[in-house]
Amino acid sequence: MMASQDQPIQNVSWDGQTAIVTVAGEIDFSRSPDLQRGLQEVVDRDPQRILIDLSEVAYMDSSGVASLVKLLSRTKKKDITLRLAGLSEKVRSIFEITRLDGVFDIYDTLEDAKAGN
Amino acid sequence: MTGQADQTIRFELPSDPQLLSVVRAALEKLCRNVGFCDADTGAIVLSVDEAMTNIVRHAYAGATGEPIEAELTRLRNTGRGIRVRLRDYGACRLAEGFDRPDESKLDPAGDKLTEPGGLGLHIIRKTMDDVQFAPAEGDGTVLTMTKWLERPNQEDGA
Repeated sequence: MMASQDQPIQNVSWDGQTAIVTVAGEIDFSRSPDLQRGLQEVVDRDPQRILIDLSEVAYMDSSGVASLVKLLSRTKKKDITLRLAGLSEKVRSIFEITRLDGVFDIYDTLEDAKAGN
Repeated sequence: MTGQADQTIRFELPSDPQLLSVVRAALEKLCRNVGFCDADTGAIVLSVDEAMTNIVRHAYAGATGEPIEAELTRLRNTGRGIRVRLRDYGACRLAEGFDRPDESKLDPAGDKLTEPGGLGLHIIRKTMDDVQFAPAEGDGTVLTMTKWLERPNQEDGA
């Protein structure tokens, strides 16, 4: 599924029961609701794993992080594996400031997330 | 280098979340100009963005046409750093406890992170050296945040 450039979720591809979600741009208060909606649609399809590729995300604020926390909560309830990949230093820092870097499974690259390395 | 006059950039913008990126961009350049490293610059920009978002969400209850005044000051007289002053004309948030972060709302297990005064205020307090909320003349709240690169000498005052 390809999306318009205005949408934070640029692409959702499937590899068997694994959903790979590509997020891009600035994830702030104006775009987080769209991110949250798009992630919920992915959860509703009951994958075994969701991999979120954040390598194209230039900026994220607490509303973006809150969207991912909600996703984490929902995936835990449905026993879905959730992994984040490709965080820039700037995006990673918000997870560190908020002490959430230890709550998520974070991988350097999407390939690492696929392999679980 | 200190002992020079401070420099201030002023914005008046409507409370439209889509316009907050304009202030973020200007602040990022100013922080780099002051000499902050990438990590500090990112944290300062994030803090101010969180503060502006709180104004939109809570002082104006999501209304997009209400005024926000933002002053970004490059401090270089008695120290080096940056000071950001945000003024709104909405409901005074001091009465709602916005100046007191509630750590219990930082529970990463659920939806509490989206509650008012939670994550955003935690980020601001953790990043900035000084954070002051005050009631504005008339309606609204003034939030002043300072981050030092080089603190002023004690006898100079801050």
